[in-house]
Amino acid sequence: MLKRYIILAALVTASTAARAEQITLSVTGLVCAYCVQGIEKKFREVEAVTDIDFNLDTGTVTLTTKENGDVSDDTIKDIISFGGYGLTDIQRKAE
Amino acid sequence: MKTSFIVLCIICALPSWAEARPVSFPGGWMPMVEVNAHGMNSEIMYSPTARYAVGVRGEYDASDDATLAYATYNRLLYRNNAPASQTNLYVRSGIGNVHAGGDDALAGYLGITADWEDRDYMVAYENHYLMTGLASVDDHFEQRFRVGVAPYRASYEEWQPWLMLQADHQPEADVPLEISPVLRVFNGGPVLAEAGISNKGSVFASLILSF
Repeated sequence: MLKRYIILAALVTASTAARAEQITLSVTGLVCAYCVQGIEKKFREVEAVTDIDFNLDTGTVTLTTKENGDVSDDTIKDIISFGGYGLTDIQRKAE
Repeated sequence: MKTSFIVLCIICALPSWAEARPVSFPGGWMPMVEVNAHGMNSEIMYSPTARYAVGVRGEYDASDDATLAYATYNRLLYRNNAPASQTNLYVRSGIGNVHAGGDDALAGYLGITADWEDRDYMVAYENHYLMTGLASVDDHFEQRFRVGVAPYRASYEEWQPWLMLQADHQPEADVPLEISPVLRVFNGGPVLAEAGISNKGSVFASLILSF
């Protein structure tokens, strides 16, 4: 019984750790395609980011990370503020 | 010769200064070229941060047959990032050389640019005062006001058109005020292009890249 539990726990842990993440950022001042260039360029330099999408109508930036990828809140805040924009929220969701 | 004359006439018929944000994104380069009422100009800027840009600028002023070359420095003085809009205030400056009639002298300009923009509307104002050390090239003040509307909202990867109305005011010019409809198009990078024609029939166009 204990052996089964350990195997199950290991599997759950492994599958969780391997998951990619979708991070949705609420950004202020993001009103035009011209504005997104700097942010896009910087996030594409982050190794863990596999995809980035912008919704100018909602002012959101959606990052997709690779499995085991990690993009810290501090990294996100630095990129957004250095780019000249405001960050109001970070939502993380495992894919 | 005839072609050169026609090109020169078009250039001489044209208003002033490419209109774009004077500071790009951090690490961004922004070359631009414009033909306008006074001749043509080109500039390349580099923005180490989102707060300032440095660059070089060249101008040919057909009315004075003068060439001007500057080192430029633009700085963001104020920005307000709202959920659905952005407001900016910049100062622009340049110092360099003017060459006309075989003479050279120091030249410089100083001006401000302010803009507000959301997904549907935009308002922009800019001015500058040019000073030169040559009597043949007059010091002068110019200002420009723009209002614009986006006919539809494009996604960031699509071409976004803007329809704008532009007023150019040069108090000491032969034609102090010109009103121009302007079409601007840009995409998520690297191209921003504008073209317009004034109520006096002056045509102008500019191309700005950013990368």
